[in-house]
Amino acid sequence: MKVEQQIPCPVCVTMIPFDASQLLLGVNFECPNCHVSIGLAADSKPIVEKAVKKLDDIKNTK
Amino acid sequence: MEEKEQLQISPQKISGLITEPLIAAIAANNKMALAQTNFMLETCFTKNDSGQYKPIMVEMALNRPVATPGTVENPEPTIQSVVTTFSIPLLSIIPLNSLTITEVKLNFDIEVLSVKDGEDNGLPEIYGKVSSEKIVGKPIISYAMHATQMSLPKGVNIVIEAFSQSIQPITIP
Repeated sequence: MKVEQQIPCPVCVTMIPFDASQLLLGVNFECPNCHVSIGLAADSKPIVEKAVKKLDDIKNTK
Repeated sequence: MEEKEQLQISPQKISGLITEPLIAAIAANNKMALAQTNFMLETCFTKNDSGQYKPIMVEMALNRPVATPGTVENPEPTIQSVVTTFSIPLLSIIPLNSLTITEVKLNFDIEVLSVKDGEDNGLPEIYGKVSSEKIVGKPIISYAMHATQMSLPKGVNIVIEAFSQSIQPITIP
């Protein structure tokens, strides 16, 4: 069961569905209501990458 | 080795044969929940000297087109893409739900060996062993169990929701 991740749009508060692995690849996600797009800032990519890798490591040891 | 073989063929309470694999799955799930909690605290938060946890924030970029009306010199309106950065907690973008057991499927046959009076409630206890093959004339009980696991605990969802709501815009008077 994969639960869809969502983040509230900072402009209109509509939930924007996103995928963390796609965010890391530089994909932007568009608000279905006001059509602004959000993406991960380049400076934060290493932090998220490290966290996702650590999570994958935990999953792979189970 | 001899002892191991004896254990394998000795009759067990059927209730135990059914519940033990589920208990093992629950124990594994608990272990994962603990690993998940540790992951959250170690990776998504920093801890200060007084033991307080502070969420690690990451920067997100928001792109929106902004229309600029034309001027007298240049009457054509222009549309520019403006990038705004905002911070959100790392916890709210990590796919934590994937650490839980989503489904447990168990299929096995139990060969019934004996029925004895129960020790606790007086109800008869059936003894048997997991059978790898069906033998004609032997009573067999077939089990197909299906258990599902909910995703994130409600408390974790509330924490994530609180963090997510913190990035919602507020009206400044």
